Formats: sequence, structure tokens, C-alpha cells
Amino acid sequence: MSDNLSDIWRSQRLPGITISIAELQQRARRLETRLIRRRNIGVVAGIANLVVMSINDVFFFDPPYRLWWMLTIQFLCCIILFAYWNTPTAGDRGHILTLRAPETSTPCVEFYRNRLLSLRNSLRQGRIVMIVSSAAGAILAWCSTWVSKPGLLPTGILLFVGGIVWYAVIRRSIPPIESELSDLQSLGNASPE
Amino acid sequence: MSIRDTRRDGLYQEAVSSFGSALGRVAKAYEAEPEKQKDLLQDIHLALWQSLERFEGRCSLRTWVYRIAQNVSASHVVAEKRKNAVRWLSLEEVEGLPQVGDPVGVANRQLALDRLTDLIRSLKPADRQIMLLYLEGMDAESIGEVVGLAPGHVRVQVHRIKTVLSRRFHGGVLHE
Repeated sequence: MSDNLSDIWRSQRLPGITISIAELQQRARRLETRLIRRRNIGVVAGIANLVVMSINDVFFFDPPYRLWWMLTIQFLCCIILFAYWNTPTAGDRGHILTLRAPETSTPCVEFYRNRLLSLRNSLRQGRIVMIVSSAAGAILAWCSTWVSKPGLLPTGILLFVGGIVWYAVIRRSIPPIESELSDLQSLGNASPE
Repeated sequence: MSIRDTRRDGLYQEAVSSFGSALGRVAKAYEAEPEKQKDLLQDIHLALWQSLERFEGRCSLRTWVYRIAQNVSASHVVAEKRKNAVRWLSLEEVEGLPQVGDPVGVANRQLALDRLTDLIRSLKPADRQIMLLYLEGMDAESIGEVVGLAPGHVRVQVHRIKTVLSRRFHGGVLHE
């Protein structure tokens, strides 16, 4: 059977790995810790956002300045949330963090479809955030024409341009995913175990 | 240690002794860089060990192991694709590509293996999964159980795989 590709494929000599049960347990604990840390960072960013909004309400009564302060802090909180929630799918080995144990044993086509759907939905949500960000930037830039506050115009322009650029980047990423999903649809529905 | 943990550890040892090499081949088919390949293999082992807690024997251990390996690997390539814009091909597209150069004879094992690995890595994950399982010697019913497709659909894809392989490799026709 030496002329058989399947035999050639299966006869490959690959450096195997041996992971002891103790090491697997340790890795699982580390993974759990990383997940909890991510969740906590999200909660802290959310609380920080609320605190800043409250301070803003109590101490700043000048409307344009209040708007600038609120939007800047909210923008920073969004960056923190995005960095920590998006890194697992974009960073090295981070994808393992987003895998939930029950879903890993689902049939492959269904699993792959779910991963693509979740990626597409997160991109769509990101697109909405970018629209809001550029709209906020435009409002800030417009406010700067009748209120003289340092940093108001550059912040507005930064938010507006940044939002537009990221919106364009995200928009380009969605059609290939849609096309992949449509290919999967044509393959037929996945059946449960 | 609970009975459940002992059972899981036992199943994991059984899975690794029976399918350890297959897990390595799956990682190789999804990742070209040796370091990342090793990382992916470790992730597969971890996911497999964690998942076996829920294994109730409703499918065979082989089906379960291949599902975990393919799913973790698919998730890995989706994450990688976000960083590097690579374009994957479907089996239909590969079938329609003009032949470049002479087909490789399977007598030249290393060259055939390199070409085969490149071909697998260029495929879309769904097609890649079917081709890999086919190369692992599984029949259409077993492949269907792993990927969650009707055997009829799998047979159509397998037919395409055979056409592609026979065009690119001399004597590369595989057994059913």
C-alpha cells in the first residue's frame, strides 16, 4: 500500500506531546483565572464609566465641557472593553479562551457555523459602536465652532475620523464571513450527536 | 479525586494512546509554523481532557476525539485569519484550477506529503475537515457523524477529493 496517499498521510512521523493530568489541571486553572480576570476588567471598566458619569453630573454644569468629559471617558472605557473582549479571538492562542467546553464536542459544521456567526455579530456590533463614535466626534467638532474649549476640536476630529476608518475596516471584513456562511448553508444542516 | 475525574482521566489516556498521532496530524494540517503547531496541539489536548467529563458514549470515542480536534483547530484558523488575510479555496474551486506542473508520484513520499499538506491548508475549514477525515481512513458514514452532515453530502465531497487527488498525484487514488 506504499502507493496510497492515505497511508502516506497516516505514516507521518510527528513529534508527539505528552501532557500529564497534573499539567492539564494546572492549565485548566490558569485558563479559568484568565477568564475571571477578563470578566473583572469588563466589570471595572463598566463601573468606572458609571462613576465618571455621576461625577460629571455632580461637578460639571457647563454643557459643552460635560459632553467632552463624558465622551472622552466613555471612549476610553470602550477601548478597554474592546481590547479585553476582542483580544481572545485576535491574539495568539486567545481563541481557546472563547471556547466553551460543551460546544467543542458539537458536530464540526455546526461548530464552525456558530463561530462564524459569533464573529459576524461581534463585527456588526463593532460597526454600530463606530457609527456612534463618529457621530459623537461630529457633534464635538460642531460644538467647537461656538464654544472655545481647548482640545474640543481635535478630540471631535479624532473620534470622527477614527470611527469612519474603523467602520470601513469592519465593513470589509463582513462579506467574506457572509459568503462562508452561505457555503455552509448549502452543505446542509448539521445533525446533533 | 472523584470517580468522574478518574473516568475522565482514563478516557483521556485511552484517547491519547489510540489517537495521539492523529491529533498531531490534525494540528499540522491547520498550522504551518512549528511553534504555533505545538501550541495548537496543546490546546487540543486541553480541550479534549476538559470535554471528556461530558462524554456519555452516545458516539464513539474516535468521533468525539476528531470533533474536538477539528473544532479547536477551526477556531484557531478563524482567529489567525483575522490577523493574516489568507484566502481559502473550496473543493470545487480546487477542482476547477488548471494543473500546474506534473502530478507528483506517490513514490516520492516526502514531496507528495508536502504537496498534500499544502493542498489541505489551502482549503476552507469545512472542506479541510472532510479531506482530513478521509485521509485518516474514515468512511462517509463516520465522516458524516464527525462533521454533522448526511452521508450523501459527504460522498459527493469525497468524490471531489478523489478527483482532485488523482489529478495531482500519480497513483493517488484512495480506498473507500
